[in-house]
Amino acid sequence: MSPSKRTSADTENLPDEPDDLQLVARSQAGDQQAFNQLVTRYRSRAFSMIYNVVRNEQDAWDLAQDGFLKAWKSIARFRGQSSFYTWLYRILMNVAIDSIRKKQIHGGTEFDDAIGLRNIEPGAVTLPKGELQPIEKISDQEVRTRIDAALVKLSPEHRAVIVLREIDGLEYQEIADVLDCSIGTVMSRLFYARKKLQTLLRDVYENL
Amino acid sequence: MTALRLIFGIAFALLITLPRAGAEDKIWSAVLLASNVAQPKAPPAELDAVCKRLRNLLGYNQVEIIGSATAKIDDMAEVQLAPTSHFSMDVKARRSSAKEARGGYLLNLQLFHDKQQLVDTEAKIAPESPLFIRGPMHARGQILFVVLVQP
Amino acid sequence: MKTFEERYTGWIDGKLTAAEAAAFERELESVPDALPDKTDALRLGDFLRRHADAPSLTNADFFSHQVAARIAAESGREVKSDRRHWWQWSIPQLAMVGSACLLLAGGLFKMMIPTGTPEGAGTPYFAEIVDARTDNPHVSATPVYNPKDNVTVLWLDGLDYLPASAQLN
Repeated sequence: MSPSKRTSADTENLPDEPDDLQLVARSQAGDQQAFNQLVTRYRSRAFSMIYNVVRNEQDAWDLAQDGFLKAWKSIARFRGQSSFYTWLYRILMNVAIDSIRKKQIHGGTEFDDAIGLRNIEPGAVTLPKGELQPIEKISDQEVRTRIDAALVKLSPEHRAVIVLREIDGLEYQEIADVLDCSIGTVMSRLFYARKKLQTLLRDVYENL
Repeated sequence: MTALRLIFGIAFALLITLPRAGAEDKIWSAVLLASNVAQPKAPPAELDAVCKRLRNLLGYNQVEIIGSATAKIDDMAEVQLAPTSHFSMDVKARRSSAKEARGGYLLNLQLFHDKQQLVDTEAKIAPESPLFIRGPMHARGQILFVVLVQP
Repeated sequence: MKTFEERYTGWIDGKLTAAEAAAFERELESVPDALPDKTDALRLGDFLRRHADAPSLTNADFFSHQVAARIAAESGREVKSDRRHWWQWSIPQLAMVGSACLLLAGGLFKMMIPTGTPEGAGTPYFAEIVDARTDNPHVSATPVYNPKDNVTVLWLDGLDYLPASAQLN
């Protein structure tokens, strides 16, 4: 889902409701009620987006709140070059990535990108791999657990591009805008992140 | 004050109508013996879901139940569980309000071997999230204890 | 000039121009597994879209309330009101408000404290050791959480070995 597209119930404006830019203008003038309306409009998508990166409901709840608080504090700097949600999305993604980095620094998680990348030469493909044993049909819960475990093994940058591209469905340019990097970097990160996930999850998606 | 009367009425209605669900939750505890044998037996049905993970963590290929006990959870009241005549637990459980607990409990648990207290612990558990305690070594393997909420 | 990784990704996502795609596919002729790998990568994407979706935000209004409270705290502002302050209320009004608050708190407590496993809740592994003590100075109690296997074990070390003659049950 592109940041510029609105689909969720939370984000649909009623005809007589002020649009985002009106609410932003009022927020910039210090109107907290106007900002609350923006929170209500985007809270579900913010939570989902952060959850997809951090894979933990409680963390996603807390980080989404931090993200909105940051947005409030910096709303004066929003100049309208992009949609409000694209701007908010960038803040939220940074909050999520920072949180993963902090966890990494404090020893909570170790990403083994290095292991993954050592095994993947640029021209290498990840098929076929005979050593993976087919598994029995697994429950939705187990699938989710496997996805969580696999995503946690990606570095924050790789996790972000996978979430933005494969789950949120953003275009390369939008991903580059959110992550503040070049399209080439986005494509390169996607290459490695996909290879890694193919290796980690193939036994699951091949057996569903 | 009309609004206040309305709140008063709603709150009163909530208090008298909401059922105290979850009162039927049970706590299941067991004493397990984990060992390495040439022909491992299939895990007990109660432990099927976690046995492989337990095996990975502890390195034993067989887990058998030596004894088990179940008690109805009485919020804040202490219950005694005696899975075997030599091992017992005193458990006080109260519902956890943590969002991620999903129907879980905060336990105050004391584990005894005969009359000797092995450990006094405070732990959170939930359905499908059992707690394991690695106990003493035994000539045949490793004694483990498991505590599980059964909704 | 795009790197191999960039062109490979663009090829998988169908983002190369026709000329770029044709040139790249010629380059890939020496990589026999490239096409199956592309299918596999697309399958991975489809799998993630179907299964990696986030749970919905629960207590959404409470979420907004908390954000508003944090913003208000940060801003150090108080909501302006032209109504009478609470200390200007009469004693019966205060009594009424107090009772209403107590009842409302009781009602909300009953509503919000989880009272059973939510139907169909995919419960992530949750067990957690908050605290552990032993009376025996030779025995240590260490919480061990193995994220790989999703198991929490309270690891007691230093307990007496039980010989084969020891009765277990």
